[in-house]
Amino acid sequence: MEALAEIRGLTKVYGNTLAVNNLNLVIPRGRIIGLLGPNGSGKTTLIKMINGLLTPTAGQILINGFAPGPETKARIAYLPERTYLQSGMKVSDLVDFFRDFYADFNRDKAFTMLSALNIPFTAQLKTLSKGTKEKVQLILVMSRDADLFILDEPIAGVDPAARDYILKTIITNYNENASILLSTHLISDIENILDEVIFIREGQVLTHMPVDQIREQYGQSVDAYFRGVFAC
Amino acid sequence: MLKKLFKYEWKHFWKIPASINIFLGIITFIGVISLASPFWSLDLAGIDIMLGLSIFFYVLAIAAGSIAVTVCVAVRYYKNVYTDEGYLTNTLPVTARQIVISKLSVGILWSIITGAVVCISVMSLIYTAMLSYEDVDIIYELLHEFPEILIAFKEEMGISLPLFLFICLIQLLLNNTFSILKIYTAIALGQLFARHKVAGAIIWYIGEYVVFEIITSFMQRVPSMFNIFSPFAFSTGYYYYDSVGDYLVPSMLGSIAFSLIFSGALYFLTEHMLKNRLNLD
Amino acid sequence: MAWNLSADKPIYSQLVEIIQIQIISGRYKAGDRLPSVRELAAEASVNPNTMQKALAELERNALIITQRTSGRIVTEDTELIQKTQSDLANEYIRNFFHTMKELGYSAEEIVSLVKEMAEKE
Repeated sequence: MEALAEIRGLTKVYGNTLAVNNLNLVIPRGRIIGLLGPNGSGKTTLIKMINGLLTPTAGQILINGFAPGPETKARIAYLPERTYLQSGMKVSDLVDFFRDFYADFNRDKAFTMLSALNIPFTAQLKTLSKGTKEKVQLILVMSRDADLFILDEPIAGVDPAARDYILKTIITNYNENASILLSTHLISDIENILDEVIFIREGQVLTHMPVDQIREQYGQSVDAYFRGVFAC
Repeated sequence: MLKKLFKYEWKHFWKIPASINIFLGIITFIGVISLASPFWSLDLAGIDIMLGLSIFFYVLAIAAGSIAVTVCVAVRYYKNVYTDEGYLTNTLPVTARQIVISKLSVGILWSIITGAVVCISVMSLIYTAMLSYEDVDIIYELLHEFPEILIAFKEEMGISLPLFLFICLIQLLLNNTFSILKIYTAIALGQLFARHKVAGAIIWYIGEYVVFEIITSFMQRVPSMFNIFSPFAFSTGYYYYDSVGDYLVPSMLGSIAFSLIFSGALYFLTEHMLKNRLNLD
Repeated sequence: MAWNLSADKPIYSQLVEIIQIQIISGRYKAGDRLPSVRELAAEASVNPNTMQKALAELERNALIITQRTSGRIVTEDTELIQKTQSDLANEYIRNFFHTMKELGYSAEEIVSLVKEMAEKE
């Protein structure tokens, strides 16, 4: 089967800084992939370009054969690292909003997950804590049956119990036609659920290989390997 | 998708402009009550000053209300498209065109509603004042003499009243669209700045304002130029108009064409910036 | 609760070992049906593909059998389970001896230390 996403020669320049530098990447189907790299390495810039929120300076992105646009947005479930919820809405309003716009959205799944994390459906969004808002966004994203899930720092702000729930959700949602791209700097928490890792440094792909290969080849965890590679 | 976008745009936006219009309604109601009561005929010291002040604050409130609605429309567009909320708006499976059109149409709708509220407010105050102090029922007179008014209007203006009102309505609609698009374009172009994007939008807006003022003042001379160079003008040596309508109608049509052309240009610029030049912080 | 996995060894080989122990210890008895890959992966908090790989390894060793109708079951061959048990035991003992020798003990000393420990327990 064709690759889920293909990125060729992707470049993004901000003023004088080169955020992403001639990056090439193929994202296969049916994988849980860690996107790892220190702060400022270009992870979020890359993710935003895949989602069509940033315009590349040069290069090409194809998802299911389409450049970022309405066709790809219908098939990508994206969790940004910020809260995009409008105040003045209830949790259930937001669920309806997602169901209205995303054909692959599963309302029952969303309500099941909201119940599991004790988030009341009728709560006003503005009354929720930051952590709870993040959980709501994650639940909405994971309730879709998308081809590509892109989660930018999904576990940074949540408590350990919620983190375990999130990881379990990711695992049980997994299907062989979809891939999950997880950007994080908290590698040790998630490395057991990853198939492969992509290390990014200075806007380029440094390494892209299976987790078990790193462990076999270097005899250390991805976390330890990461620290070694990026040691200052 | 456009229908859904429109539905949610309305649903998420109605509260503030609705409250502004309710506020205008309340002010009007107070005005009507006070005009209908004998209060202003009382022989109180300083009542004239009070009346002057009341009218001043009424005009101020009406103007502020209309501007506030426009500002709300602008803020809504900026916040929902170009700030954190834009992370959701711009990842919906919809086109840039659908996003702009849904927001623009809700914005236009609110300008029209506000415009109508302002009209009704002013007219009801004039009506009440005329009725209480001059003992003239304008509406009754208007309806009573409607056929005569129609004929007189046609004679004076050279155009029938319904057609004239229709042109007015179109012009109003286009002017509203044009002023909202000026803001949208300024916001979109403000994104070209690396930092201080809101300040950038304001600078663009001022720039647009100046340019369009220059174009407008130039355009206003066009109808008179036509007349200068018309054979009739040459033969008589001076230009004059048969009726007010001879001047007014072409200038209204010119203004419509102007709004139409430049609204189109601004619209495509706004859409282009959203579709091909989006760079969210 | 996620399974306790060490950081430096490949994940799938650790999963193989843990499932072997679960079978030997009787958590899954001979002929029992195993949970699905997805359920096991969620329980262990590991990647489903990795769990799949571990189960494939166990299938190769015939400890697990895939049936078309009822999914994966534990082998009914109790001899094989006992052999797996003794293999694992031998491996642990070999590792233990290796470590103790590094600490400077001879084979006889290790045996007597183990005896002492066994009597205490």
